[in-house]
Amino acid sequence: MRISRIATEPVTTLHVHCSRLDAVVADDLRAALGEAIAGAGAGAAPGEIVVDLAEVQFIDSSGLSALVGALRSITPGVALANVCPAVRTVLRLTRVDRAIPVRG
Amino acid sequence: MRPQRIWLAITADFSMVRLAAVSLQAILAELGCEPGHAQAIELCAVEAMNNVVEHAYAEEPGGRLELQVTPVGDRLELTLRDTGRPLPSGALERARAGGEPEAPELREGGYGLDLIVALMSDVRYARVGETNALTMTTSLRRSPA
Repeated sequence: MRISRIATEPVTTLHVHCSRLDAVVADDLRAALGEAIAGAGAGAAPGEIVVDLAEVQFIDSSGLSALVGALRSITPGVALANVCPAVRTVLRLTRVDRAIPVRG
Repeated sequence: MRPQRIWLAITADFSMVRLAAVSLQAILAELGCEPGHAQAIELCAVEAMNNVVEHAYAEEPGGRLELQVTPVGDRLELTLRDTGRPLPSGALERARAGGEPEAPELREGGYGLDLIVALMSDVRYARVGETNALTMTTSLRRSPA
């Protein structure tokens, strides 16, 4: 699970480089996001982390749980970006999009 | 005429679930299912299979699960069978009831059945002897030729 970090003050964008966020990668996703967030936290003010899901074509409840688990400690203050229709549907049906904003 | 069926049987393991899902994608594409709807069907199958791996076979890793795919006209029926622990009583009914619509949701888990119930037109569970059978029905929504 590779997550790259780009800091363009005041926003830190975390790019998730994986097309399928499912039970196979859920633990790795949670760990990798946790590390990336911790790394982004140094010196960054709250409300400035965007998780870019442009490469994600599929997410199941395992992937979603890992995502929520990693992000809940920094909400509000995080947003999801570049979400494909299939992922957007999952976020909507689970109402996660009401707690974590989705952009684009 | 007897319905034509496809059976995908796997060891209950998340990596095997992924392979079954990829196979199901190919089957749905061959049946002409509209891609967006095929993704929803795949998601429901994955959620159901994950539940078997994680819960039904929690104390029996490596059990067998079988996904039966039955296209009938414009309808598609998926039946998942396993011989693990039964679905907890009331779980399906709770998923159908849903949660508070205005409450912001940020649970870490428990979304699987909710997604299946939301995306499939009919969901039924039965336990016959030692076998669990979860049947999900939806339209095929074939893409225009």
